[in-house]
Amino acid sequence: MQWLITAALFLLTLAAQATLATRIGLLDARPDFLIILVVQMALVSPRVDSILWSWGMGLLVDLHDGNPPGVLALTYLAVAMVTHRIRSEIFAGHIITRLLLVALADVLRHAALLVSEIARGHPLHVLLFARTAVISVAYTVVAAAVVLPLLGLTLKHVYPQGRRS
Amino acid sequence: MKRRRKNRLRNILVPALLPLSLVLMLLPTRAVQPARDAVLTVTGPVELGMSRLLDLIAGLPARLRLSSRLLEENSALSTHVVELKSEVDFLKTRLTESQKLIAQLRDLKQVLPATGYEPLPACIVNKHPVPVSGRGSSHTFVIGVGTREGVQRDDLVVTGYAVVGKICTVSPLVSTVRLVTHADFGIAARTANGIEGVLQGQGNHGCLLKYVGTRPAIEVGDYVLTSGFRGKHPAGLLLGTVEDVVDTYRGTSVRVEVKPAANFQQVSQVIVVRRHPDR
Repeated sequence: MQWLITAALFLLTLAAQATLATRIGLLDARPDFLIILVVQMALVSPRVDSILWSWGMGLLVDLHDGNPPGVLALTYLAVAMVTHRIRSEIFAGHIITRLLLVALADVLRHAALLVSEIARGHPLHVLLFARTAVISVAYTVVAAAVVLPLLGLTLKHVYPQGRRS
Repeated sequence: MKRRRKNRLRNILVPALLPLSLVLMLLPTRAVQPARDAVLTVTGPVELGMSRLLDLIAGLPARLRLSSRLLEENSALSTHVVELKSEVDFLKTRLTESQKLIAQLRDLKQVLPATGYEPLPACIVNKHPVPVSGRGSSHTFVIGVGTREGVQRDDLVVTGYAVVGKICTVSPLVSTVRLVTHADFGIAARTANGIEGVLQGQGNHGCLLKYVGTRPAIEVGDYVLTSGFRGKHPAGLLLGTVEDVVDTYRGTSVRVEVKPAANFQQVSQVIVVRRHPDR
């Protein structure tokens, strides 16, 4: 049942990213709902679940968006691992802490995409990319302020053990 | 035991996923294409559904504005319908009046001589009817026809068979009718049994038949008609009925009071009996 709910949550978040995020875009920048989900999952779910789900979500997003498969899979895996590792040592319940984690995760995602573009030899306007990345990160943090509490409520019922495992 | 298995899984998971990710990154595009198609097959319907839902939500303000505008338009249309219904009722009344007038015209044409007079229907524009008390009235009407339609001063104005008055002032578009009750009104008249005189208005609700002689054979209820003296007006049109015959000056003369036949309060349309220019 946990897997089913998590899969459904992931599908809805992916659909929201593909439809809603494009409608509320600002200067080519869009909020990233998926990274918010990855961070929230890593904060509440057990280690194995968060690692597997993050990697799996990242792979599916790569296949959906046309990135080389594995780029976002590794990025989301890294985010999940780091968040899970430090969640017991930080005040993870506070919204500011969570927003900071989301901001760092989004920066990492943009960095991974930048490296991927350079590695593939695609022409890249670095300054424009940087501007879009900065606006996108800020936008994601603002969206996270609204979405994190909602996700927290939902995942509390899916993973009631919380941070114990 | 279970805990040890869990720890083992946790320990091999990351080392297994890392090289797997690197291998996947190095795969050629065509090898990955079937997987991409499969992902789109699953996520496509969900994205489509969400897109439609968002379109619906985005369209709500416009729909609400439209609903509000439609409600206002509906209210305005309802008011307009009520006004139109009232107008239809009014027009129906006018149609009935016009039909009566047409019937009167037909009857009048049978009464009028074959040549010399032409009836012309006219509506009353401004009415100063004679009140019941006979006071406070100008004893005139204004009708909506004038010299443009060939109306002349002194033309007779009737309603049905009853004489209303004479044209006293004309202009191209409108004319003033002096009623039979006007103090300055006078017309050659005769009773049904041939006694001739002059019908004059008194400035009140009645008229007097003058110059009938000392002992005329006139009785109450006798009809008073136009005499057609000198052909100025057609003969035989009803002016009124004798209301009272009173001796005056010790029986040397009589005062014949005549009640006008036309009901000035109720009349709304009249007929002008236009004279032929040669008359």
